[in-house]
Amino acid sequence: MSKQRSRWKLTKFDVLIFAGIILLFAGSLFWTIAYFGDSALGAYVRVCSEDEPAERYPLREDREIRIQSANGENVLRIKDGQAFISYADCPDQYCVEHKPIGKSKESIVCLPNQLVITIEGGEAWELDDVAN
Amino acid sequence: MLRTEKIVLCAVLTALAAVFSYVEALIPFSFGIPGIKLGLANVVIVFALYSLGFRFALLISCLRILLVSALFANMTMALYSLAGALLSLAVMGALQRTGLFSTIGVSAAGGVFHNIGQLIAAVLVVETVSLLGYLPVLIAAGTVTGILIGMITELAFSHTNKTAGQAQK
Repeated sequence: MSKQRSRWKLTKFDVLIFAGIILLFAGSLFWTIAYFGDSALGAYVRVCSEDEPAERYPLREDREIRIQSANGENVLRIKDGQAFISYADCPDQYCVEHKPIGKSKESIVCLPNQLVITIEGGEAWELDDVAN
Repeated sequence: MLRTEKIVLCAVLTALAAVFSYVEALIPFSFGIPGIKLGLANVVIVFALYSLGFRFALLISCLRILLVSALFANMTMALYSLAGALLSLAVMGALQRTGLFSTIGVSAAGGVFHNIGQLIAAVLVVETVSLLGYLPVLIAAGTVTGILIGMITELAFSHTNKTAGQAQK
């Protein structure tokens, strides 16, 4: 081509371009962490019982949580990234029979003891799981 | 360069860009991350930007997308490609016009903005903001592919300079 000047070598102004790119990268990374913070750090189990403020427990740690309220007692177990009710003193025992939950927005409800357990963040809830 | 020469070169480059797109569809130069490819056709666009100017580069880019999506893809893909290509070319054209930056620097910025443009189009089409979470990966990938494209273009320049020199002798 007509121009013989070599652009093969980087110029000192190229630093500006790469600085801009790094800035964009950092900005987008910051946004991503702010936006996906909870799900990036893993899912949580949110326990909502009648007379206590809602509490959150990370789903990645296996543990047993005793939830006592004026209505009765439930035992929540977190095991292998899934949460389920292992014991309840309620009459119908629906919450104990409920399959373990682990995906975002899944929940177990114990009506007699007025307890709601919900998964927050993490892997998305898929409709197919309900369909089958 | 004569006007006729420009038109002929423009036609050849359009054909070359279309072929590059096709070759890349056949043998993807993938980096192991879904949605990321080298974008060989952009070598032609950067080459055209420097040898023929912004307008011809824009023309080649649009023609290439029209051709490739009519032949091998669908119109949704054309929309994504167009968004990426136009934003990328606008940024590269502006940077090149200043005359301060190297081909590799201009191409790196082009690669980054190509991916940004495509992602913005995707966010608008799917109406899901969370797609932007893919942005850091795409910016990093765009930088790498942009630098590679810039290097290949520079190689192409040195070869065409050589052959042009021989033709004149």
